[in-house]
Amino acid sequence: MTQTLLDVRGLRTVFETRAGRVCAVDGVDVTVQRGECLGVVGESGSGKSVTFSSVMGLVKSPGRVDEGTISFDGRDLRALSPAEMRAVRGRDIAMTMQDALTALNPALTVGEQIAEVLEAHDETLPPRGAARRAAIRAKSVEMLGLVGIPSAENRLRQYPHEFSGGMRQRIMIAIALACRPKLLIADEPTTALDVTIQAQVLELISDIRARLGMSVVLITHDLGVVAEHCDRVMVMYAGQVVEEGPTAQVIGDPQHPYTQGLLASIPRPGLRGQPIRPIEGQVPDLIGLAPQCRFYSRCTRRTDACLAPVEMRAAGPNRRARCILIEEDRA
Amino acid sequence: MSLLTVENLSKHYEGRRSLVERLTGVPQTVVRAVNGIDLTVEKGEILGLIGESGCGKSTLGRAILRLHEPTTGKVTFDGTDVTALDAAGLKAMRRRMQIIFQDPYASLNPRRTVAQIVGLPLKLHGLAQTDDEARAIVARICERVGLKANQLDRYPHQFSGGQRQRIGIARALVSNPEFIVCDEPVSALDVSIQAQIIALLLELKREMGLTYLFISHDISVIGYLADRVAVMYLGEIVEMGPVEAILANPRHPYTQSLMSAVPEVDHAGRRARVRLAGDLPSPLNPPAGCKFHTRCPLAVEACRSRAPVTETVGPGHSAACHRLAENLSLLEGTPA
Amino acid sequence: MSLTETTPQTHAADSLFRRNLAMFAANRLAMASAVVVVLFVVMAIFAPWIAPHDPNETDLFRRLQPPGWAPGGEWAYLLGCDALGRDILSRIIYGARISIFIGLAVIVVATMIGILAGLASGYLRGWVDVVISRIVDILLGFPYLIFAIGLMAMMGPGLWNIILALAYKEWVIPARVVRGETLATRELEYVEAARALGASRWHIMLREILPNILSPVIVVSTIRMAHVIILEASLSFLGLGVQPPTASWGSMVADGRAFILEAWWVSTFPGLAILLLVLAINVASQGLRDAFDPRFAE
Repeated sequence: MTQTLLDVRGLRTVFETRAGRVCAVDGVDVTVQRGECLGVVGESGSGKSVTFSSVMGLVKSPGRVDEGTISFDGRDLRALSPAEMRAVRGRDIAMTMQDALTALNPALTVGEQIAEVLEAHDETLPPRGAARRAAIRAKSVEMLGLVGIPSAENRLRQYPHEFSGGMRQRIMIAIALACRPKLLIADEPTTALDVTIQAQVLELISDIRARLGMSVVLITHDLGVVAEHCDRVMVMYAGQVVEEGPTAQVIGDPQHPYTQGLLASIPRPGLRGQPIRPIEGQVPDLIGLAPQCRFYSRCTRRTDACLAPVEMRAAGPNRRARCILIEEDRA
Repeated sequence: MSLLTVENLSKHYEGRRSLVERLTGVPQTVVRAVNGIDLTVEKGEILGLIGESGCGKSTLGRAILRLHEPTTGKVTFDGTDVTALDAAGLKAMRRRMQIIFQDPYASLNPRRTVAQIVGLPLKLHGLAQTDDEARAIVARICERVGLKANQLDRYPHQFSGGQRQRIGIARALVSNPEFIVCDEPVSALDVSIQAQIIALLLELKREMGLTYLFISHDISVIGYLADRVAVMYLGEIVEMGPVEAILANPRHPYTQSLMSAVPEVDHAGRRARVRLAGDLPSPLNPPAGCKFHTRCPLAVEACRSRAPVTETVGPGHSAACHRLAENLSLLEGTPA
Repeated sequence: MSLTETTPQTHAADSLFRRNLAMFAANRLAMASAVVVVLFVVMAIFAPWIAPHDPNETDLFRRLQPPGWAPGGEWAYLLGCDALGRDILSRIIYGARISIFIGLAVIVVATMIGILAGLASGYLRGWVDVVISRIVDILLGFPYLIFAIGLMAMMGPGLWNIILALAYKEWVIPARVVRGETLATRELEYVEAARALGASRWHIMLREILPNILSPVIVVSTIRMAHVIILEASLSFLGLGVQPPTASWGSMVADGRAFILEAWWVSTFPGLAILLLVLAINVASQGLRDAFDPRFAE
């Protein structure tokens, strides 16, 4: 068994729209080690969510995975049939969505929704009858207990709208974890939540990861969340990875001008009285991108050399960034 | 004298009762969204108003502007009692007090061009003699907030979120107001765009001598730009004071837990934080006594029965908690 | 996950209206129906030039003359003649004027009243809403046709009375639609922004809210127009409509009742005209709804 759980190479996901072809994910490499927490940071349109819905085989029409290999636990996910892929989803890889209210089915009780996943994937259950129902029930109670929902027995009978926002997020995590997946993809798990609740949910994910030994991909726009909870971070911009490496190094000493700009533009009490230095301009239109550095139009350190395609370069041990300045700095 | 004085301001919403419920004596349900707020805003300062969703901070901002009619209380702006104004007086006051909204998509009429949206206040208040003059004023303010002259005749859907927020800012500023309620103006924006808008708001404040009531749930943003901070919980202000004092020495356990919950890039790795039990209680049925006692790690018997009174704890710094005298702190490494 | 993350925001250079129109044009059945409706309207407008004969010219020698292709028929009187020897085709062409005019007039009057009532009800709320909503509920409780028959009996027949009798109740349909849309729209921040800027109620209702809720109202109104045309035909059929000798499809169907066995064409052709126009309006308006009302877009 290798240390690498998920290995994505050269992923390209395109959306055919009326206005033209949108390349939402363009040549993205992702590796997730066993037991690791990878943070994926980016703004809207960076492709961070599409990358992982591609991994899950959940890209909606008119989008499709165009190129690349997705290897998970030694299997090539792109070669799987839809039925085989369904078996992988939920059992081996689980995903939680940003908006728990719409992601949960309002017409089913929480218990029924957890049971659904167990029915579909859990092969350790007794084949049928009362024993099977009892086993499902016991597992459901165990899952709600795991995510810190008190009096789980009673709450299984309640509907999603009877829970608060933070509780719903916990329930979604409970459903995702019902079959003990090897990888949990949490897509903006706390964006819709208040800070005090956000802190609870993030600690919960970290605790469960440590206890179950699974890997977590935390998709977020909040560098603060990444700083506190992730081992490694991957920064995305306009459909590409622009920088990746161990969290402390990337945040402490960012190499790519975009990461630098992003960190400099976070308002925080420590910067009081100093002018904030925002990244000027906007994310480029993903239709008809020129083959050049995608950050060119907003970069303060751009040169004519940036007008050629820029590849990822090594920026130290375990670190890579997509900027031509890197070799100059290190040379 | 303060530019804005708010005294004992409340906004209560009554639940709907059917005729049968009324006749059978089902009690009227009341949501006390804003409950007895006192605060002042000095000319030229930024008062940060912070709290979680449902704490009533947006309602307070709107009640001050009488966008939501206050239930009780008094708002005085520059010597004028805003709560006593008639329709004409209120309309004239609207020119001087403005609001910037959170949602850059819902706050612009999709069927209006930028020029129409931004020019509306000029038309309503007769601030331009001719159409040409109005257009020139609109073009000037739009350029100032970072829009291009050739974008004036476009519709909102042709702009990105950040640009739309610039249009909303231009609309609020075109009538040369003195006071702006900024209702989470950057919460819906991406990080890099958020910084652009914050920088713009600070520049405009300096140039135009504005005063802001800046509503946010993000203590990092408030800590960066506010001069003073008011912390709200379930319709009440639990702590208020100069930003330095609040950041360095928060006295209310809710303020302390709010601050410890914010993930910060400067603190790599996990740190110990105050764990708040449970969720925000329903405002329909708020806890008796101190409203925070259901989640407060320091709650004692007195907190369950009596509401604490607001006490002064430092220069311009006040808090409402029964245990202030004990000088407790939930935060590690903070002098107790 | 969603496309919003990948679709660039600034790409909608073409206006929403044009996009909707293109969507409508792509619906071939709806497009064909719209063409049929337009043909009827053209026929009504240019009736004096299109109709081969004077619709009211009686000729007892041509009494119940069969259609042109049937034995005893004449190609000059393509669809045959009625009991007074009047050319049925010409009367259908002229009758289109009545149907379309009444349909349009009722819908325009009703929609205008409905928009004002719905906006006032939905935006002002309070007692205005209570009063208007109660009136709407009461009117909805009456069977439409019986209500109109009663009114016509009171006011007496005549073109304007028909329009009044139908508009009297028809306005509740747009009023309900407008009220619902207004209730949803008034909570949006741009309405609040207009209030914060000092805009009057009138400005907010007519300039901020109305333009944004017009699409569903127009769609509903076109669907209702088909309904009104049928009601007018029913009233005319019952003799409460436009008075003779003016040609109206409803009264033409009624005229032919007595001879339905020996002269089927007298009733059938005006009946077919009603069917064709109503069907075309319905299909076209459903196409409009699909294209213009985003809730039906998928």
